[in-house]
Amino acid sequence: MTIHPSNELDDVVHQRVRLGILAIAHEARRVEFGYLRTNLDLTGGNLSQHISVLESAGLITVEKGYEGKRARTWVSLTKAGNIALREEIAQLKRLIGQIEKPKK
Amino acid sequence: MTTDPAPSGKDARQLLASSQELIERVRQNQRATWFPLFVLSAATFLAIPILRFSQRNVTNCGAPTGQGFVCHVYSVWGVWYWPIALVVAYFGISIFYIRRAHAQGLETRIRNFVIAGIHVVVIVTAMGYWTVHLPLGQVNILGLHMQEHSLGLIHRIAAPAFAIGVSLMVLAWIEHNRRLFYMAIVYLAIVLIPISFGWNVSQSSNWNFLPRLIIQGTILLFAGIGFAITQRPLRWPTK
Repeated sequence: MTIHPSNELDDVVHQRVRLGILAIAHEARRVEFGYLRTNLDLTGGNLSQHISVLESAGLITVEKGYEGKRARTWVSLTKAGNIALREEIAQLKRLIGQIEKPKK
Repeated sequence: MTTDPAPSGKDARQLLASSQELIERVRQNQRATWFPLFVLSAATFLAIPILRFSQRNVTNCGAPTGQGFVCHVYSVWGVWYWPIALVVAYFGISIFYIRRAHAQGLETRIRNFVIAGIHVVVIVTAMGYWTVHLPLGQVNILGLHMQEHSLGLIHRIAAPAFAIGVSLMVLAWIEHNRRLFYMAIVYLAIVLIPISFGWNVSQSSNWNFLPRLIIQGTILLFAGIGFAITQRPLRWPTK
């Protein structure tokens, strides 16, 4: 018996916003909180919750600092985050492929 | 492992499409392809007065022919100008990319461009130095006996224009920019074949380098204008 691809999806990553955070962080060395908020169209509080979930899972690291008087939060992808993103994308592609496969 | 109901194909497709759209948006936000093209075009045009008014050194004259000697002639300032100009250009480009991305809340991987660019400049400069000291006539390179006419390609690989083409390919890889990759291929083809569009100046003239630099600089300039129109650089990213 083969495992359905949906059973191999990771709950932490298999969510639109969290997958979006990982995808954006994957393309940049680091990404600022404001960029994520704007591009994912979220409130600050909502984004913070998703970032906490990813940080607790060890998929991203969060650095807080100041530029002048302005507080800045930078997010970067960890190795585990990179692997999780690749696996999620691969599972999604497998899932789509399985659904689109003509039935015998 | 998830305990939720299995997601439908439509959900999976939407999730995949939305992540791919975000990835593409970040890539587009980081791209400023027009800037390196303008900088490298300026460096190419600036080389014209430097090469024209520089002192010239003559090395490795071959055996006398019926019309005199055939020698290697190279510009003394050109030897120094290109490595310095390219390294300054690469640093300038990376600072621009870093500041531009930072203003948007991103950090770029442009450091790889500078590292690769400097490596290529060092290799090309060393090769350039070596090629002007190659004896004329038959040459033994790593056991390959090459005739003078087949050394043309080695001279062109040892030229700064080749270093520019390679650095543009590295930038295309960093930016995931297919159009820049194709542009770099065309540029390298023009440098290596070489294509002069029928414009040639006598080898004995002090301006014999002019067609080459004008063609290469113009390609970079026009490509820069093309990317500037599509990437709209006048809209500096705001938060």
